[in-house]
Amino acid sequence: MPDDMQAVWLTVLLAGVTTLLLFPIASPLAWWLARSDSKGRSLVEAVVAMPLVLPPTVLGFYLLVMLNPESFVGGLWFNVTGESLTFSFSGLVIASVIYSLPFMVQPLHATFRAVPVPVLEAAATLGASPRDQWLNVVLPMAKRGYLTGGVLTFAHTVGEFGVVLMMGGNIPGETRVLSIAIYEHVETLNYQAAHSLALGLMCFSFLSLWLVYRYTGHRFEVVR
Amino acid sequence: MNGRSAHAGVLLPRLARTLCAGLLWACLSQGVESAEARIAVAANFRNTALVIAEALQRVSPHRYEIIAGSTGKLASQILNGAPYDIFMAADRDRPQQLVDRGAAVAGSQQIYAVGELGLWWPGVSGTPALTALANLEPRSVCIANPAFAPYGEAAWHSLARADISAVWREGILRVDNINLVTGLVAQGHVSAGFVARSSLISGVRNGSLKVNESEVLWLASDAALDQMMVLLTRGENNPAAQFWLDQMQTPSVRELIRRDGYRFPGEETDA
Repeated sequence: MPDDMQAVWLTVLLAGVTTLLLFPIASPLAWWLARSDSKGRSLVEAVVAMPLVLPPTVLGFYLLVMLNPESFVGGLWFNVTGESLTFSFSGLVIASVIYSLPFMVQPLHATFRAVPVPVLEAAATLGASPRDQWLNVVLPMAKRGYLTGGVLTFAHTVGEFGVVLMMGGNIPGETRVLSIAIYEHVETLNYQAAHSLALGLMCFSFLSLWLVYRYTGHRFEVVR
Repeated sequence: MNGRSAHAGVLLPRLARTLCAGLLWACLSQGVESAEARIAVAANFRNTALVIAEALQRVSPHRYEIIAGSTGKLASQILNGAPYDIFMAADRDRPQQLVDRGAAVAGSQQIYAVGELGLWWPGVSGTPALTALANLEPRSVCIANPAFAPYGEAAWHSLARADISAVWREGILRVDNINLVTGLVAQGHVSAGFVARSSLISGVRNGSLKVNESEVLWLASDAALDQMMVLLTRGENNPAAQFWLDQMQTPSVRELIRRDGYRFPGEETDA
């Protein structure tokens, strides 16, 4: 059981770090997607949404190839830190950021699109710098988008399995997240422990989604 | 003021005791550097490795983590940078491949156990026979995937030698590793499966399995598996890994391995 608590903690840590990293990564991307008329926009949208449709094994396989110590990126990391990116917590964070990117970008994209241009123009006329406009106009209007994006990203990362299996393995305290722990309990006939963790995850998923629907749901509008 | 001195009065002897205990430990373990090692073990050896790790942790300052999986998958992970110190495979080939590709230390290979494959067929009338399997739906017979699990590979060869048709063999259910086969047979999801002797013995011992000896056909003569271990390059200077390697041939550790149904090279089977 202490191993399972370690898996719970590791999962929460991975999901937390991923969510925190995705706020600053996804915000400018979603803003650009919401405001740009560029021809390349649909291309970027498609790339961002790819983790939604790709089997996690595809993503896991390419990350394994790209991040292993023999590769350029993985080799660079290995030379600097002395640790491999594959089968490590840092590697899982990179994988989770890519894997959960659409879950953060899409709610933010929808929120930003709903921010009326005249409101921003009025703020500019009143002397607000772009930074002021972002902090005092856009952010307050987009808080529901951030809540949705944050909860969905966190929950999706908690449920990650295929990618971890491909490039994380099953190292206690490093890559043995909840879904892997459940898989191992089933493999080793420890159904009681598998039930406890699986039921916990079911409740957590339900609560996360209920939170999103309760506070955003059909009233998912930025400006009324 | 009084409260503070009373607190200090309780704290000081406690502190002194802790310091003394620390000093004693430091004296006892003088010259023994404590370290941690990650041991990647073939799925069939998982339970045994956990018991060995516990025993070695009791007699040394070292800590061990056991990571279990099919031999082929673990070897692939190691080649892709997995941070393991020792690899305990269920065959001879993979450790040798790792040595050839520079991921393991040449000359560190040793056979730590000889495993045995069995056909577990609960509820069968009489002794299970390989040829009789052909009367079952192939999908109700389970093996570990021969592509990356040595026990599955051995099972595959046993079926081929028993003249079971290739078409039937192609339809057989393949799963990730040998422990999963044991689970699926035990839960009644499949009618029969090729299992490791060690999984049945440790499962019966810890109460998770009920096995009647007459339901199992042991295949010692044509499916004994030499399980080889090797020191990985990452663990070359790790005292915990070296201690693990050294201990593997000691009588006490060998007894733990033997208790789980393994033999050692040169020994006759008792099945």
